[in-house]
Amino acid sequence: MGLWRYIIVRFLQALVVLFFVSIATFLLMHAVPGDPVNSIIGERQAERPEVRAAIESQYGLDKPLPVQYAYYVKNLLRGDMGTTITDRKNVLDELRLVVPATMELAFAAMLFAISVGVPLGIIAAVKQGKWPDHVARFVSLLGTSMPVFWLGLLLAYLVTYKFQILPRSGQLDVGMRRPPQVTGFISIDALLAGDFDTFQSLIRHIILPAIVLGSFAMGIISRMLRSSLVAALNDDYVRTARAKGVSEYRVVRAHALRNALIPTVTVIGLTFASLLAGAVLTETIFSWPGLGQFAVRMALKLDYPGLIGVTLIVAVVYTLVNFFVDVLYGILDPRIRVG
Amino acid sequence: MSGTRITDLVANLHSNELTRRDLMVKAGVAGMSASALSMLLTGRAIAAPGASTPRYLVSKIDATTLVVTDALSGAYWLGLDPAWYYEINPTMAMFAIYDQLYAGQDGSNPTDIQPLLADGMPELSEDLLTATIKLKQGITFQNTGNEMTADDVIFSYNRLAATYAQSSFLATDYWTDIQKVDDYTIAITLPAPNAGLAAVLASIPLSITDSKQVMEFGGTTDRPEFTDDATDDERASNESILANRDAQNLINSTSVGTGPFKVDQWDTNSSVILVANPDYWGEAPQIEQIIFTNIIDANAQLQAVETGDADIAYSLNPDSVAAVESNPDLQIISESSLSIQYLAMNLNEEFGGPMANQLCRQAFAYAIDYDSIINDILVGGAVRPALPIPLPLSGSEAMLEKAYTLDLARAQELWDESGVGDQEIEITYDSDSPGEGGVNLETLATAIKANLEAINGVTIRLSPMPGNDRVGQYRAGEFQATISPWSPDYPDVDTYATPFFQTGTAAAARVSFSNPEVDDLLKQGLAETDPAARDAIYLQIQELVLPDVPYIVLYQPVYRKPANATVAGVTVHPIYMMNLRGASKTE
Repeated sequence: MGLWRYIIVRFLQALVVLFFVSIATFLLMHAVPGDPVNSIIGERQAERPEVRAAIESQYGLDKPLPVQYAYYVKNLLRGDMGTTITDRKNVLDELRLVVPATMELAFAAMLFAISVGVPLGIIAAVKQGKWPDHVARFVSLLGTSMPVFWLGLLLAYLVTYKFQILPRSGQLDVGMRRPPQVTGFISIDALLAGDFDTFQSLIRHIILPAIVLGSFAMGIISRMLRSSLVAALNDDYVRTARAKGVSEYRVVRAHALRNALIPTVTVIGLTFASLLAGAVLTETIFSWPGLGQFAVRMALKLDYPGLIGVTLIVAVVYTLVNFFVDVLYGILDPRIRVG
Repeated sequence: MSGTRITDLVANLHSNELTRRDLMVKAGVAGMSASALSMLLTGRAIAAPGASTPRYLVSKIDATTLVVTDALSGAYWLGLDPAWYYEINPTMAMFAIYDQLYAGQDGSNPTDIQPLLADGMPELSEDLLTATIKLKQGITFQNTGNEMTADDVIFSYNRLAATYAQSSFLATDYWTDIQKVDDYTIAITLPAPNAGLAAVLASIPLSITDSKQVMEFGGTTDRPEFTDDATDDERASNESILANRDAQNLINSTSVGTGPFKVDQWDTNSSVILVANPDYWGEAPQIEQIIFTNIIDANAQLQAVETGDADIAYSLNPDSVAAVESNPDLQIISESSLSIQYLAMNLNEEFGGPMANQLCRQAFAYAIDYDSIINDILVGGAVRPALPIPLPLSGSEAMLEKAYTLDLARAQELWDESGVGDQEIEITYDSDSPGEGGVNLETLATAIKANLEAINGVTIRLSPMPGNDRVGQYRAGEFQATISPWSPDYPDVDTYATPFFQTGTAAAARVSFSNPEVDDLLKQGLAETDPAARDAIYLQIQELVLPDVPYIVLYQPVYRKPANATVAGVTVHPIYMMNLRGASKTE
């Protein structure tokens, strides 16, 4: 019962957060100098009042700001996020394409970061001060300090161009069609449709961008885990466990690692959220049609409907991820549930 | 969970079942085992056969498919509905899908306008104010098989006017009325004689669409009024615009034209696919499909052509030209554009300051090292007309010898003569998009700054701005100097002469340029049907404008597209970007 109440309260809090995010975005965007009509009015007609009036009426830009906001919220509650001004596309339809694309990439990046970062962190902690520790430190520093664009271009050159092992651009092979849209995640939709060629093509396309996007998180995770695991291994309860004759494997796995993972989980959660919003460079290098690119495009053109859509989605993601991290805490450390 | 595997290994190490060296080797393997799936797939990828297709692709590209790569998911590919169309890059797809009444198909001679869906050139009445156009008969639309008639032509034009889209001026400015004479004849009433009418009708937004199908999609020719005397109710009645906007979404994926290719998939996030129209009325296409695939970065596009992922790339960085030329497997397809990149200076003293002084503008025109811009920044891939009338349009070639060239002494003289003294001039440019010909605008602006500051007394402040803001400021006429692009709406000198030189129009309004004598000549030029006499008028216009230098043309790029050597029949075109209708491929 306590858990459910906690979830409901958190959910209501999230709604309040989203409400304020939408108002803040709306006001901020209108406070920014510049006029979205500029990008769609065309060189030959820019000076014509009737053309400007037609465009403003189409997007409700001729109404006072509070009215515009009221309309927006009214439509939003009906599941209509409006139409982008620059490319006349339904915002919700666009988000249904770009958000899954970015989430797929972020999941793959996290998978890489965890599957490399966690073992690296453990080795470094267990072999503290010895050469495996130094190697692990080197690798993780490389991951955190190499700029995304440089690593991206390097991998694209070596893996795609030089050795032709993996493809570089896009999500699927040239001319390959998206599977029928159910979830918007190509991987899931392809499996649902039983289309293994498409699934396989997606996996091949996602590896390079996932490594590039995940390398920073990999470095952070391994360093984080190393330091907390080192601390845990020197703790009293570990000494007690060793004194009891527990095998070193059990000491590391069941006693130290479990406690050391808590701060790492926080980092993983927050990094994941930032991957969703911050994959712009990786998306550009690998032509991955995700949220980051969409956001940049909308921001440059001051495309209000598109921008608010992006902001709301990112706010939802952050709220959700924080929520899941909290729940995970509870699972890893039952004491937190009580608190 | 790979973490478990690692801890197993660590435990083994501690119980001396494993050497340290083994641990590192096995830990490496275990770390990767989380992505065992990908390794498996990679293994299969290497085993995958393919002669010209890269081995990492699951599907093969054969000689019946032409792959063109471009930045689809940027802001360049917005839609494929002629009534909303005003982009540049996707014109290569639009001209493959849609026919217009007229077309200048030859990229090396785009002003040579020939009938396409029309049966003959427009027949003009004696007063030159009515043009009668006959249509070819028996032409059917791609998806419905409906026959094209005068109703479709009139519907297509009127729907363009009804959208108020960027290109709607093409359907509102050039005629006052358009009537059906019979099923295969239309009559257009002109506000003034217009020698360039066929060229206007060759523009992509005036493509002929299937009126029955567009109406099924909700498209309409109802045009709400937004003029000053319109009532509030009329202003609020924007349903027809919204209906046309919704129709656009359907037309993007179900094309409604008569051209040699039709749309099979519209997905700018991955690829846009066109397939051959088996019932095409003209010469049948030689390939079965054209795939436009999404690659954002120009270098990545070139890489895709090199690896065989694509046949042609839309973009080519000037720096990469030499590498492509030296590669025997590749070719460069090129043609001069009709686009320009220019420096506009404000003749309105309130904003222009010293730029309002003719001597200062002339000094600038003499101070810029044009050859260095063309040779160093564009690696030779450009020419330079004297004024914003690109080569080879009317009079531009005769003006070449009169163009300003680098003469720093003369520039200094003019600046000193102007008596404005020490001045700081702000030059704005787009920070978020490249210039014409793929030029990095920061590089260009920096070069110009260095050139102009060679004049004693001139300091240049460069202001990169988001394109949206810069254009807003430029259009409001609230700028000092700005670097701006211009590309043609249709292949006729008027698409430049009017907006750049006619009082109160587009660019001329922004820089506050006005010359009544020029305005008169522009009217004459538009009415003159004799080509030689027309050229003479436009030459006279350019001679009149030249001393005023409201604009300094920096360059007119040559469009260069890298392609595989196996590609044939594709020409680069200043309006269509690429004419893909005759494309073919050898194995």
